[in-house]
Amino acid sequence: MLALILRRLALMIPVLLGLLVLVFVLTRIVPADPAAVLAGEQASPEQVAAIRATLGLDRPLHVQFVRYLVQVASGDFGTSLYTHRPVVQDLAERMPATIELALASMLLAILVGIPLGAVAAVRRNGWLDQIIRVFTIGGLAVASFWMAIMLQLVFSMQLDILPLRGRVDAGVPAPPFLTGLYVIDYLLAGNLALARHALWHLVLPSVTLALPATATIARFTRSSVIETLQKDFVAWERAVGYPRRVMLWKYVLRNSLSATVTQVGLLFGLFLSGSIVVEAVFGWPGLGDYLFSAITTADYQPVMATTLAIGVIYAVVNIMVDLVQARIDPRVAEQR
Amino acid sequence: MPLALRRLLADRAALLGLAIIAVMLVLAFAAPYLVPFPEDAFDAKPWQRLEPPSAEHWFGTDGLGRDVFSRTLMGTRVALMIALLVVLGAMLIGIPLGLSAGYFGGWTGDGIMRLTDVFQAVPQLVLALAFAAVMRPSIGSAMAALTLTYWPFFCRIVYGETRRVRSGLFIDALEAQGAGTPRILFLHILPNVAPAIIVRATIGMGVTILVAATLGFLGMGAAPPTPEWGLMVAESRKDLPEGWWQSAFPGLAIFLAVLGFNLFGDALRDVADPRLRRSR
Repeated sequence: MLALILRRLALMIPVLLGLLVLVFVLTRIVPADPAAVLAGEQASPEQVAAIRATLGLDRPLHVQFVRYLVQVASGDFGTSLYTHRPVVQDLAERMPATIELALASMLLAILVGIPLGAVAAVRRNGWLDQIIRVFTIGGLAVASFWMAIMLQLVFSMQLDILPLRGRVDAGVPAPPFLTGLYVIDYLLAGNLALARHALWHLVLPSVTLALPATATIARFTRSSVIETLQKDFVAWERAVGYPRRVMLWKYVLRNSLSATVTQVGLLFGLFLSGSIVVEAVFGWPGLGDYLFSAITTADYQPVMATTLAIGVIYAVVNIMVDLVQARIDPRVAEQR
Repeated sequence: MPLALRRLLADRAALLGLAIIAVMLVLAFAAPYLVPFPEDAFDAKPWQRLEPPSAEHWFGTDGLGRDVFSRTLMGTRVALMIALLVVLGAMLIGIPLGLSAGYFGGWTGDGIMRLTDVFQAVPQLVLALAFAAVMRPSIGSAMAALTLTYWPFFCRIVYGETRRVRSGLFIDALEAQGAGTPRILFLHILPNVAPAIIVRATIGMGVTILVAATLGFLGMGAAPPTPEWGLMVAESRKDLPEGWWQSAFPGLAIFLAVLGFNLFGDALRDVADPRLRRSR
């Protein structure tokens, strides 16, 4: 198992290095000159040149890249031209917001998606299956920015029962930092009212983010449950007279979840890119929002660091998926 | 009638998808002659701002007084054009790379496949945003960004299929007879890989419409006053909650368009690859 983890981690490195080269080259051919942006509009050409020299932007590209690699290796991702703070600090502050959102969405998608898929499989071709099928196909066709705005329109602007944006209302103090997840931190601080307040703020963003994921999970669960139901052991269990409920939720589902777990890993990528849009619409101060504002302001240090962070998260989640899969289905582990 | 085609036509979902695609194509070609207010796609008419849906303006008017129905219809052209060009571009890059990687293997194959790994190390939207931001925001740069981030999907699939086909005896026979490499690749392997490519391209149309609209929404795609669906939703936000029709209809258009390609693409996949057939 350990060897498997180490091998996967080793395979990750060249890919991430390649990603770094790609994004590095991209950000250095940006037409907007960061030195000029930093110097301000009234700066003389000499001042801009001086700033360019201090930032090392006047050196050849490969020299800049090596310098950047050395910097990154020591944990320094530069300073954001926009927030004037070390990028690492910005990322550390924003990461929990995105993790909270992604976890809530994942939980929602799993809790809704797996039962939906299982029910659809059991009632195969019935009217319930048809309804669920419409949902699973339609759920993948909805643009999340549009879904977000429609939810805001109905639940925040018209009905006024859920907050419009943010992790908490303006002026509400953040909880003392423990996990960085507001709902949990408020709970740990013993403040039930604020925990509920934070939870309400999570509802619309996580529903938006969870929709396509729920659809995907339901779909994969459905087809693998159908496949499992046709296996011999199910016929045996049925013949021996296992209670239907136990048979279905314990044996059939466990044997069917392998494909769903793989999907959960892929869905994490969906969450990372979805968070850019969802965080932009809901004013959610996370990674996606950070990346997007960095891109629009040609602030390339944060762009590089965030893209790399997303690449790392993506790779690590996929390794974790392999491990979980080996737990659920020992046959997977033996194959490697 | 071939079995595959018969199976496709017996699938209600596939037919619905095909119908949506067909209607979209017709609308895209005929939009300039169909729309009630052709000049409304671009020109502001401040005296009729934010009128709700009515017999005259089916989808209402937007914050600049333009007819939302006309703009949504014209948006079909924009969306389809972007998706078609992006998918074609991605095919032009991805297919030859995938064919060579699968056929030659070795260093060439490894190099190409590692390159696709790098491009797929982050979700497509993240990379596309970075590409689009480097260029000046416009439809052209959005299309370039989408093409440059979508080709790995074709490359992957073609690679896998090529490896499978390459192990066939008929390839050995061709090589023994002295057939040239391009001939083997494009005349003998490509046709065998084509079904997988067609499936991917159909699904890719839906994906691209969705991601292109997202780029437009985030201000990294079409510039005003282009009637692009994502941009229309973005522009509508300042008039909420009063002008809800302005946001609702372009979003519904995106939904229908993507739904059409997804439905049809799924059905095609079932027919093209029986191993993956939806159990029913």
